[in-house]
Amino acid sequence: MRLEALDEKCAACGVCELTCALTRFKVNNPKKSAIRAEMLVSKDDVKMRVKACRLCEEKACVKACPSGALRFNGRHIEVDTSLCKLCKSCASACPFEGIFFHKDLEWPLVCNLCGGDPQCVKACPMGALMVVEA
Amino acid sequence: MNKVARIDLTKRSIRVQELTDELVLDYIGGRGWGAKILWDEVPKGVGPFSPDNKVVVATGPLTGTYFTGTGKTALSSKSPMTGAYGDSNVGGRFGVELKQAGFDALIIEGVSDVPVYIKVFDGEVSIEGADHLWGLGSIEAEEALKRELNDRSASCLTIGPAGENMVYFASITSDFGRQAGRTGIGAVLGSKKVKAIVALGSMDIPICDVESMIEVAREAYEYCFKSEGQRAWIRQGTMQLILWSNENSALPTRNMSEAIYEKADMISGDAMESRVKIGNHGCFGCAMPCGQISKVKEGKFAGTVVEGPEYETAAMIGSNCALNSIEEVVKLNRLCDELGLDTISTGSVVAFAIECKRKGLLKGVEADFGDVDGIIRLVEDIAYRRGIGDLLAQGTKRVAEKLGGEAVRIAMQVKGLEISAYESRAAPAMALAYGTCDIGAHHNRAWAITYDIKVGRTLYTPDKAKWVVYLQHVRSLFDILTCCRLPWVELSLPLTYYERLYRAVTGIDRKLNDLLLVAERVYNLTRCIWLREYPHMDRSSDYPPPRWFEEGLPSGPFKGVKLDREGYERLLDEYYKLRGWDRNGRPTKFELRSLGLGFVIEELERLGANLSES
Repeated sequence: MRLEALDEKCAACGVCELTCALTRFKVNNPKKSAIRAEMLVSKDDVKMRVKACRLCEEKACVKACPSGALRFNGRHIEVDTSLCKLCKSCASACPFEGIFFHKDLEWPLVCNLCGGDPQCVKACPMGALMVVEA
Repeated sequence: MNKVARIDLTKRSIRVQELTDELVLDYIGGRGWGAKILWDEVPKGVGPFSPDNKVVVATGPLTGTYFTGTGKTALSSKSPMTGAYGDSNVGGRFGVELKQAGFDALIIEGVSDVPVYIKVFDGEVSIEGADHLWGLGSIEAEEALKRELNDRSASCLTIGPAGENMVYFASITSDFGRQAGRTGIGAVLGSKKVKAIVALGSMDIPICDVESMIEVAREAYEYCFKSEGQRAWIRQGTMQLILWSNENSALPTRNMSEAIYEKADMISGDAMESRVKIGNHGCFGCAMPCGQISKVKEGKFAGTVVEGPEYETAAMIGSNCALNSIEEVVKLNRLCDELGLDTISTGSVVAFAIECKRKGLLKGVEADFGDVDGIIRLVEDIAYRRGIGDLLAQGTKRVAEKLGGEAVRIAMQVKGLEISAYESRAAPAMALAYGTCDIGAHHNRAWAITYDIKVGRTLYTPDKAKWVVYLQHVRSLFDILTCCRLPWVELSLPLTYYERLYRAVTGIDRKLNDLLLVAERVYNLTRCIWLREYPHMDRSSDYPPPRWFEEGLPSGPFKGVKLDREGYERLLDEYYKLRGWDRNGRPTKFELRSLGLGFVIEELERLGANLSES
């Protein structure tokens, strides 16, 4: 299974972000989340975009990591926090811009699907998030 | 946390102070802090554009917490519109970023001699040059700042040209499409040469009992998700109200000379949904994201995109100026947002100017009802203070006082602030709500029209006054806790949730009645700010404009209905009695002392406001 998002339904309310942070760390801090909802503004358009790991075919982050800190464990991307050197190559490589850093944490935040029951999917008021077969 | 940054623009200094226990316990947050800080620090006689005026930007205990509608920030200042207490709140995400940057509130004082923006980044506050932003539209400025700071998650409050030019009803924009629209605080920022405030933070927001907060939030989200109303609010937001208002003879039309708009279908929620809607935008944490994103698809305004329209905009600039289509409303909405104008006051001022022109009272107005191009030009003239726009930029009350006579009768304002979008000749409780609102005529303190519709449109019974007082406390409480009231108003989310959430977040065990007492304290304190400014103010200041008493509704089921002066007097008497105010609307000393506001008495008496003992 993996996360899928319908950007056109997203309202960028951030409920997914805070739900993620509270589920993982029990802290009220949307910046400690592995998902972001963003509003993009141009002269004649406004679009929302959900940024999160979609478990892409190529596992670009795993390939990009020079320290071997990231691996796909068959369910989600797993981070070996002891190996990460915070080079952020993984985030640059991610085609969905779905990897995040926080100054309190010494490793990247990647969606772990909440152990198989993603809380953000349930929390989204817009029905913009869903689980699909990987 | 619990920190306030005091930003002195004159000295270019920043002082970080702790929140006092008094502010935290007796005033809670948001506009509660705004009122107390303005009472303490902005004395009588300080002009709204004086360096001595201040802008309080305040979050509250619930801002940024895990709950529906916690993306709010409250701004308070001495209002250019009224010369007395003013506030306005804004959704989006600014307050969350401000808190995560380590500050609960900002106090902006003094004046800068060059354009600046205030930057609040993770514990650091700085004053930065904004020459390159001055003159930009409010959305343009926000986008420029986000590019410059290279972080889209930064949240901004910006003003547009109207704020820079100190148009009295200039607004503040945040996150593309949310506005602190009312009372002209954008103009106060403009007078201080503050183009923008930008916040970006990564800190945890401290929560006393995280597990309890999650439990309360989950219950509340589930409650909202199960509600039919939630879907309707996501679909059309406040725009559902256009046809409802029209059916109920409450839709402001042609400067509130009428209450039914023959083209309501063209500017309705259905018109929006079918013709221009392209998406939704929710404020932080929202369970019912009601913000609409609209884009004109064809015609001469094709490509115009806006967050909205909201009901208030579509009514005040739409039906009240007799616009012909939702596309025209979208165009005017975007124009006002970019120029940084309150769409409510702007719609009222434009309609007033047009009616004055038609009656031969005002020269230099070329626009007419329904003339979208003329209205666009007039709105631009107001923002840039060109020609007749320079006079109109001061709001209906000042223009009417200058013109005198008939103009005073048709200036649709109370205390200097234009009435928002509920025509109330056949809604006495709503009229009382406008009359007694503590920032001038705004609906958000007491949206009492639903009660009029429920119990009787021409009744002046004491329960109506009681209902207005109740709403003024409950709805103020949301602005004090600093979160959105709509889940309660529209989905009937029980107020007990807020009591539980407040306890989980702060660790302070307070019952709802105790929280409502704070709202009552704040309502009395804002009244005292008015009294300090205008010590001889009496009940006449709590009246809606003469038009509503003198002209019957011209059509519809309530044809001929107007406000009954005697009935209104009775409602006002009852309202004062319930509040513990004398018959001129002055709080008694007994009432003030029992609310913990005894500290205002000496100053008010010294200034000549006669307060009775009880």
